[in-house]
Formats: sequence, structure tokens, C-alpha cells
Amino acid sequence: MKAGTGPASPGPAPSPGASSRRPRRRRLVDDLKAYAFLAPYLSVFILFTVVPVGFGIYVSLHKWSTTLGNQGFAGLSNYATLVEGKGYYGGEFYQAMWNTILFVLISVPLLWAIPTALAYAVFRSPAKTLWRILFFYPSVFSVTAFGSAWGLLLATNGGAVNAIFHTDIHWLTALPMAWISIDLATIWATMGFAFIIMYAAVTQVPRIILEAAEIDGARPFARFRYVILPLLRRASVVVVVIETIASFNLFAQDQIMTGGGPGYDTTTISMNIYNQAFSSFDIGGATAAAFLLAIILAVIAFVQLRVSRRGA
Amino acid sequence: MATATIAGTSSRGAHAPRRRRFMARRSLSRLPTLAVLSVVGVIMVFPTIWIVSTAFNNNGGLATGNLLPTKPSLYNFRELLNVAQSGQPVLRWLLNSIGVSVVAAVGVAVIDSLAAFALARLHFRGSKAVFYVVVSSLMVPFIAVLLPQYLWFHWLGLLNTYGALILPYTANAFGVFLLYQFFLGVPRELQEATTVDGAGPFTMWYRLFVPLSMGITATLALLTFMGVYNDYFWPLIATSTPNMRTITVGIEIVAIGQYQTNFGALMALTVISVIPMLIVFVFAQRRLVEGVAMSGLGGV
Amino acid sequence: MHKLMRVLSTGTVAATVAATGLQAGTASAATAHSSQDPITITYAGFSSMNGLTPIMDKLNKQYAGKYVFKATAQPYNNYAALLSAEIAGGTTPDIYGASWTPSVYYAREGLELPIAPFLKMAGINPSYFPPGMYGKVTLVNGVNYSIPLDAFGTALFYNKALFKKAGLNPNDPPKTGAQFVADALAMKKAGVKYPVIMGADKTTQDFLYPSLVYQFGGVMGNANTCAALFDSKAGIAAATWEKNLMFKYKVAPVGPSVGEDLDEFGKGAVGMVMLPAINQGAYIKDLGANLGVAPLPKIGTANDKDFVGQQYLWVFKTAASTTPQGAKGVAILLKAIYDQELKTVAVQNGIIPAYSPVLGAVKKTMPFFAAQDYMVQNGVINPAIPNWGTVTGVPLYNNLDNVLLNKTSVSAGIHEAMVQTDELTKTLPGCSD
Repeated sequence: MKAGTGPASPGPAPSPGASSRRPRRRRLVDDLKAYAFLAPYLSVFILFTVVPVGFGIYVSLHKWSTTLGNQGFAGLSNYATLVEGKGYYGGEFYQAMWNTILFVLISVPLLWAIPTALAYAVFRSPAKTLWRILFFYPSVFSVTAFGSAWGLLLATNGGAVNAIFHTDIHWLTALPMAWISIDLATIWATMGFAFIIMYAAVTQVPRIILEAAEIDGARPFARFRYVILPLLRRASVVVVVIETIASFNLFAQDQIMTGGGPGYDTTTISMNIYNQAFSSFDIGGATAAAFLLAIILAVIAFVQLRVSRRGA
Repeated sequence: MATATIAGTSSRGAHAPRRRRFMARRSLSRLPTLAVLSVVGVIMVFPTIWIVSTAFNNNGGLATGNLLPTKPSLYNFRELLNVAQSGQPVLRWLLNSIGVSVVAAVGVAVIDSLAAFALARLHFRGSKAVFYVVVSSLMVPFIAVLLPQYLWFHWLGLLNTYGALILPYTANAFGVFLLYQFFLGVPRELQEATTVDGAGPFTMWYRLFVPLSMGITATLALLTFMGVYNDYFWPLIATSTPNMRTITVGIEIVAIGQYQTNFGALMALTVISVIPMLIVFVFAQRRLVEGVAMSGLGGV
Repeated sequence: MHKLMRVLSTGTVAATVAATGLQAGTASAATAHSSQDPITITYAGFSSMNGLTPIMDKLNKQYAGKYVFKATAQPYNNYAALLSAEIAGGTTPDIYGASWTPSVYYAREGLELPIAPFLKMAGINPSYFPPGMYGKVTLVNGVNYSIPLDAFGTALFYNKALFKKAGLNPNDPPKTGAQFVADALAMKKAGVKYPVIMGADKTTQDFLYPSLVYQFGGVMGNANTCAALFDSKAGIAAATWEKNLMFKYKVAPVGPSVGEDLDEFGKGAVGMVMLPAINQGAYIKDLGANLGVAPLPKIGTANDKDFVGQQYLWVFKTAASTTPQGAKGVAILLKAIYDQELKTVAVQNGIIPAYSPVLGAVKKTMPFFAAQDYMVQNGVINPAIPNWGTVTGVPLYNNLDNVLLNKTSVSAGIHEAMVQTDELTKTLPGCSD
């Protein structure tokens, strides 16, 4: 293992031999070498992402029955039905979209802030291994397992939580609590991923900077906020983008824990898409809804990446 | 070069006495932090107690919201043996899951590392376009491509094979994204050093970036392993014979019925299925973190 | 941006080429079989197939070289996705088992074969099915496609120990709505924490609400017009009765979470619950001698017909089933399933075989047989609207949720439920006209 170096500083200016000055043939050879690196990934990417996605887009432009196949070209009418809110799924689209966006707005900041705070806290505490295992291991459970577990622990009348605290809170059947419960379960099960990345980033912060800040006598929180946090920017970008995408795809926890209720209030867009595809057997419309969601996600992720780059 | 201490390593050597005094002064201020960590730790452990106690509870398959078993017994695990003998190959499911997850994880680690290196450190035409296409593929919800992918594999004749269980996961855009960010953070001085030595890009990747990124690549492999292991939808429709199924699908077959869920069996199977992952994680986690610490995601 | 478009369009072209090839696969083409190859007959469903293993072994030995019989258990969660994928990919099972209304969906799509010829070949006499479960009620476009395998009613489960505690006769469950309320109030007075728990989710309302609607003299829907019809006096009376338990008589807690009635009764904490009878097996285990099982009390004024849950079998159009040899194999397997499978499964679990020759064998060993038999013989299945109750139940439960949480009035909630159900039904095949 090669030795690491000191703090990673913003790199020097590009070395001599920058692309604009390379001879044409050399550029071609360099390009080919680069694509050789990319070849394994690009081949599986084209075979197993591009083709299915392309086919999916094709399906969304048709009246396509899940069981009977192609029923004729439909142009953009599948998309139009959703956007206009027509029919059962169109009518549910906005409600489901709103529920999903609400969930994302609440959980993504938490899914970043809590692991980051914990990572920093663990970093400065003894028994690091214990904490690391403790905060990461819930990620090993499948959705069915932890969804059922939390759903039953938070049950109104028979749940352990209400029993232990002698409360009567309707964790899963009343509105702000239902989202809080789903958030709690989701954060419990998925923060391990963000924790492990942010912890690694925190260990990377040069000790010199840490000690300098302490000697300065800055208060711990200010220390964290102005000194440490900016150094975690790159890791944070990864975490936030991935968590946003994952949260938009929330599918199983809410069905297991609240049944999509109370009423429709915790039904998400993924559930809508799934029902349209496999309960109403309209995979053309379902794929259209999914790609609409994809477009929205792409816009959001693009904005996130842009914002992160501006601050650098 | 000056001896800069590598962040994350324990403090040893000439500076130790001063550091120890330094830390002793601060030990009192650790208490609130430790308290918070403990509370969170309890929350993390809490549902697991329920999961394990339900696995050891003999309640007719019904669940209780209680934390401790009301009728502790090994009944659920004994039942699993019966299930295994009556044509549901539970062990085979476990082995399938572990096998495909390992292969996918290793494959992803290698493929994504190569690709991320090219995107981050090599200058070539089209690199921006490739990056954006790859990242934008993350946006497509899996449900949109579930059936198209199924039909595609059917056409390829790969359904109900290990190929179907491994190949779709190898196109892991998240891994490329993650390693890309990491490689961007590798200091240019190091890269210059190897170029000066006359090394080509492959040597640079193999001798510099791979060792440096062992930790984060291992993290990626672990996360991929867990993602493939716990995936339900795709293995559900991609496999049709009992011997090819994975443990997640198997759990649903055994424990979840239309009108009732056998929580005892569900949790017993969950406990069994989680053990391989936990073992891998406990052994790997020390190496993961210390490895990542060598120049990486922190820092601009 | 234009580079992105270029990549996407290339992908689309490639996909289109693949798609035209794939479209041929979406219809299940009959391929030629050489008459020497054994024909594979598959039976799939989401009940456990454990009871079938000895039968399958016997059949496979008996017909070695001619047929290969397979029984595959599939998970219930997302079974529709799995089955759709199989149909789209051409690997449809020959015989499938699920509840009644999904079979209507596939029948309307033209994916099933009429069942009468198979009954003849198998020697299964349709007069042995309960009249409420086969015949006129199961016609789809004038033809019968599926046959009932077993059924179970909506039961009143009660806790005898808690009855005794309240001074009630443990062998005298309530037989009318008024008695039910009186018993619940007595238990409340005696300090029972939960005299009743009303489940507000699919598990309970799938069975209880339709039962009440039928009891009050209403219907859930009309199969011919695919219209939901529960927004009627009967439907409102049914929902009101449920709501009163929580808000008027206060014998049931408000806002129980998913499945809570099921779980709490198993713990012995609840006096009475109304649930699908299939839970009997688990309750016998948990409560033993304290378990009481009875048909639903006569809550409505019109009759005592209650909703009955069921499993039906039907035959898909596949490469095997559309050939004479294959059809014979299907008939053989059907007969074997009917003769044998249910004896073991039925006994504990409150499931009544829907085929009377098998019923006789089960009668003597099944606990609470009289009550279960009564429920099934008087049971009503859902109208022949595709996927009714499974898919189209969703707006109903969600709005009932709102009603039982007192977020909307009963009439507003039921009306909204019906409007949304109709909208949803319109998306189903055969109903969008």
C-alpha cells in the first residue's frame, strides 16, 4: 500500500501536455486508450441499461398491455393523460407525486445530516468500531423485514413503542406521525450507507486542521460548521444525490407500514406506477409515468450538481 | 517529505504524551456526545431485538408488537427444516444469493473502477457526454424497465439462469459516480509522479489509483453485495424454478400468504439470511474505513 | 444536450429492432411437439404446494415418459407482476390458482380456455360445487372459465375467557347486531381493554364490508356494466354500523394500524374480531380452548349472506393446454388436485374444500366444521368484474379509512369511494367501453 500524502490541496495548473497541445494522432491514441478503460462498463451499460431504457421509452409511446403486448401507437397521449390528471391514474398522479416530494423534502436533509453528525461524533469518541457496526448494520435488513418490524413496533394499540412510553400516539394512522414513522424506519435502515461514506470523509480531514481549530478555542459546533463541513463537500454531493433518487423511489415501506394510508396520504408515485402496470395491466401508461418521474429527477439532480459545483 | 501524520491512524510516537494530556482535558466534554451516540445506538438496536425475538417466538405465525418473545422456542427454525425437505430448497436459495452477490460485487468493483478512472483522470473526447449519460441513467426508476428488461432477457434466452441474476447489476452507474468523485480527489502530484516515471494510463490505474482506492472500492463492493442480495423484484420475475431462486424471493414464498403473513417464519428466515452479510461487514469494516482514509473523498 | 439525444435515439432504434422480435413472443405461440417428448404440465399459484408433493410424485411415476407434472409455489406479493411477465414472455403456467376476480381479468383478455371440456375429461362433476360459487355467477361472456377449489367465510372470532370474565355464556356467541353490541358493552363494563377491534385495512374490510352490504340488502357491483353499486342505503348502513362501534358505542379503539385486530386477538387481548376464517389455524394455536368461532351475527336486516374468500383454478391458453394430449394431461392434474390436496390443508385452517366428495373426508377432523360449512354454503363471491376486490378494492379501503377515522362523513366517504372505484374499473379490460 502506497503511503498517503498530506492534505489534498487544490491541484496545480494542468501539467504540460494538456490536451489542446497534443498532436492529432496522439489524441486519437489517447482517446482509444480511454475508451478501452470504459469498454467493459460501456458494454454492460449499453446491453443492460440503454437497451431496456430505450425499449421502455418505446413502450411508453404505445398503448401497451402488460399481458397482451403492443396495442398500437399512442404518441405522447400516455404522458398527456397523466399531466392532465385524467382517469384514475392521472387523478392520483399529482397526489402521489406530492406525497413523494414531501417525503423527499423531509428525509433527504435528515438522511444527510444525521449520518454526518453521527460520523463526526463517532470519529471523536472511543469505541469507534462498536459505533460503526451499530450504525451500519441495520442496512442489511430487507425492506420486508424492517418494514414489518417497525410497523408492528409502532402499532397503535399493541406496539412496543406505545407500551414502553405509555403513550397512545397513532404512529401509523394519523397524518404527521405517519410520515414521521416511515421516515424513522427509512432512516434507520438506510443511513448506514451515508454514514459509512461520511465517516470515511471525516477521517480524511487532516488532523492539523482539526487541532488548529481546537486550539483557536472555537466552540465545537462552530468548529464543525465552518471548518470541517466544507471539507466534506464532495462526499456530501454523492450522498445527497443518491439519497434523493432513492427517496423518490420509495415503494415498499409505506405499503407495509401504513398500507398507503391514512386514506391515500402515504401512497407514493412508485406505488402508482406499479399498480398501473400490474393491477390495471397498462404498462404503456405506467412506463410513461415512470419516465415523467425520471425527467423530474434529472432536473433536480442537475440542479443539485450545479449548486454544489458553484460553491466549490 | 515532511512527516505528515496520515489522518485516521491512531496516535503513536513522539507526540503521544502531549496528545494524551490534550485529550484528558477534553474527556469531560465527550460525555454529551457519548450520551447522544448511546441513545441513537439504542434506537438502532431496538427493532433488531424484535426481529430476533419474533424469530424465536412460537405464536402461530402471528406477530406481536412485544419486544420479547411470549413463547420462546426454536419452532420456526425447525419448521424451516421441514420446508426445506418438502421441495423448497432454502439452503440453495441462500447459496444462490451469496454467489450472485459476490460475483456482481467483484465485477462491479473492477468495471466501475476502470470506467471512473477514465472519466476522472483521462482527457478524451466525449468524456463529458459519457458522464452525463451514465449519471442520468440513475434517474430512471427501476420499475420502468422491469418488464422491458424481462422481455429483453427472454429474447436473449437468459431467463432463469445465473446470467440473468448477475448481469443486470453489473451496469452500476452509482459505482461509477462514487468512484469518480473519489478519483477526482486524488492529488495531482501523485499522478504527475507516475507519469514522470513513464507509466501509461493502465499502470497508473493499477499501481496508483487501485491501491489508493482500496477502501472506497471495497465499500462499493460491499454496498453492491448488499444491494444485489436484498433485491426482490428482478429475481422474482427472472427466475422460475425453485433451484434458481434467491433468498429474498424464497422468503416471500415461504412466509407471506394472501391473507396472512407467517411472521415467525419470516423473521427466522430473515435472521438466517442476514448472517452472511453481517459476517462480511464485521470483518471488512475496519479495513474499509482505514483504507478510505488514504486521500479520498474529503478535501477539495 | 444533443449528444444525450443522440445516445438515446440510438438506443431507441436498437430497442425497436429488439421489440419487433419480442412482440412475436408476447403471444403464446404453440410450438410443435414431437409425440415422443413428455409434455410438461405446470400448476402454479401462491398457496403453499407442500400438500401436493406426494401427489405429484405419484403422478410423475405413473405417467413417466408421457407427462411431467410440476407444481410451483409463487410468492403472493407482486404475483400479478410475475404472472404478467410470464404471459408476456410466453412461459405461462398451464393451471393457475388464485381468487375469483383475477381470473375474470385474464378470461376477458382471451387468455384462458373454457373449463367445461376439462371437467368432462377429468370426471369432475360441477354439481358438487356450492351453488353460490359456480354456474351462473361465474359466467364471463357466457362461458365458465374457472372452478372453485376451496373457500372460507367471514368469521366472528371470539375469546371465551373474556366472555366468561364479562359474565357472558362462552358457548353463546352473539347472533344479531344488537346482541353483538350488548356483548361488547358488557365486556367493556367488565374492564376488558379491547372488547372489539375493527381493522381498517384490506385484511378486514375486504371481507367485512361486503358482508355487511349484502346483509343490508345491497350489492357491491354489476358485472355487466362494470359499475360499483355500494353507494346505496345498504352501503351507507354498513359503514355506519362499523363507525358506530368506534364512535357511538365506543367499544373499539379509533385508528388501529394495519393488521392490529388480527395480532391483538391472537394475544388474547380482544373480545371479538371479524376476520377471514382462514386465520383459524393460527388462533387455535394461540388461544387453544379459549377460541370461539361462529358465523357473523345477523347485523343487517335483509339476510345472512356473507362474503366468502376463495381460491379458483383455471387453465391458461398455453402451448401444452391447446393440444389434445396436453389437455388430457391438464385434466389429469386437475383431478388429482381436487381429490387430494385439500384434506391436509383444510383441517386446521378454516378452509372448506369446495368439492363435496372431499368435504366428507374433512368433516370429521375439522374443528368448528359446522360454522365454517355454514359460512361457505351461504357465501357470496365478488361480482365478475376483473380484479374486483383485489385491485379495485383500493379506493374503497382508503376511503373507509377516512370514514373510520372520522375525517369524512359516512355518505361523503362512501360516495367518493364509489366514484374512484368506477374510475379505476374503467381502466380494466372489458370495462373501458
